[in-house]
Amino acid sequence: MTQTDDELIRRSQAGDPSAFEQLIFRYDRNVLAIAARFTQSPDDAKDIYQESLIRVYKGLAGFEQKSEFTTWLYRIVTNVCLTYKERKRRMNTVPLEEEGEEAGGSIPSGAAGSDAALHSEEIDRRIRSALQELSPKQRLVFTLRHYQEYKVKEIAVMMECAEGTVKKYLFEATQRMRDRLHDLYE
Amino acid sequence: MKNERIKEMMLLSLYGELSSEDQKELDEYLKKHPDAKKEFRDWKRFGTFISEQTPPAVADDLLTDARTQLRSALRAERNRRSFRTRLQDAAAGFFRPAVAVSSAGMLSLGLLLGYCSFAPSGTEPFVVLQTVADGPKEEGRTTIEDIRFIDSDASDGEVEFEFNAVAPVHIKGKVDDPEIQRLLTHALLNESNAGVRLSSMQLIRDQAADKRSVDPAVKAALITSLKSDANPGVRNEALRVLQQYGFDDELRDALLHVIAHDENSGLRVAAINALELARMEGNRLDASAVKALKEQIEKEKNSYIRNRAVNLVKEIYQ
Repeated sequence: MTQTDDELIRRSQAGDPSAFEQLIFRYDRNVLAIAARFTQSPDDAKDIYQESLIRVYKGLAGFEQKSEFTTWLYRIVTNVCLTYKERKRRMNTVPLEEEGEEAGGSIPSGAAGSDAALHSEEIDRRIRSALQELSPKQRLVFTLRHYQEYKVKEIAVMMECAEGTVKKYLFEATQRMRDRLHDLYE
Repeated sequence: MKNERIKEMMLLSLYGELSSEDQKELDEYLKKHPDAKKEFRDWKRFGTFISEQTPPAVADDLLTDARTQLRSALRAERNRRSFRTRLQDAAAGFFRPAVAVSSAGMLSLGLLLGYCSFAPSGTEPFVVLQTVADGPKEEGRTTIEDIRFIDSDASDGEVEFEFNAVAPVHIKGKVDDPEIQRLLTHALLNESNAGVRLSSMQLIRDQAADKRSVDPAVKAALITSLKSDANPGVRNEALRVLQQYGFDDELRDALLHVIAHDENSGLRVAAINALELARMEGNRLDASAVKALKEQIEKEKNSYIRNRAVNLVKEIYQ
């Protein structure tokens, strides 16, 4: 019988490692998807994935289930996403912008070869490039709204900010993406 | 102000989050303002364009890789946490009985301070604590070693340090005892030494030979090991143990996962063998298994495995 999140949380809090895995493996694909879209780099996505879930592991003992587990989880993921670039810079590695399009290119994409596939790859490359030009908050909001299909209200809860702030970031992101990609959809 | 509100409404309308009332208001506004209408049309074209560009889903390989790395990190974290718990236990034992707490504590801290200030580095552990045996568990001597000062300035009356407290614990019991099973499962998932993980697995296997029932947590741990243990020997042993528990959907999915993702060709062959054996024993492999096998046939580089998969699909169809 499938256990509820609450049951798995309680077992995890009691020190059962398999319960913790069962719990996070329900959501970790989405965590990785958010990180991958946000960073455009599989390696960075895995870093964010791991750091987020380790934070969840460390914090679970104090999690009192006053909010949904997923809300708490994605709040951690968004925090890690937003601080990742700064921490990476502090660690004296290559900033994300300087990784350029090569990094984005390593996200698995469709089969290459045909004109249609090449065209599709070019569009994908342009979208990734435009996304990289957004500020981290704009990119995160755009990613969560557009690719993960969270509502503005849900994103505001995840990012612990007002709905108006999310709308502002989303508006700016959408406007900039429009400007950058105008020639592709005209 | 009005302009800002219209922009916000256009945005929310684009993402389908505008209330019907506000949508009406926006439509009315757009009727009266051709420039805004033109602008909104452009927004909608962008919305259609971007929604057509579905990003590739997260590849299974990437997720498997991320999970494997996460498991290692969690294992390290658990070991750290376990160390902290042992330290607290050791400290609790160290500071009993209550009457002697403050004097013994202060004396020990003094000794520690003096030792760490003047002793040469790289010496053997110098403090040995004796813990009390408890039932079938026989705890050995707790040794304190590798003392690391965080704050050695005692001018404010406080110092802070950490050290490794290692206590061997000897447990004797029946292999099917739930507590023993829990410990073996824990070792399976958390022990950094592959030999220990393998030994735990073999103990579980010996128990499996006696009775074909399994604690769901043990089975989940075995499946986890089969899918993601870093050591192929441990993964192979997990497969053998799981086979002893009998074939079911969980094992089928785990075997298909191995066939699709395990980098070790021997494991992929073992998984195909296990599926074949299950089929010969009268277990039905459904369309999803056939689909997964066909997908693997497309991408499998090892011709032997490819042929085995092709033959298995043929046998399923017969």
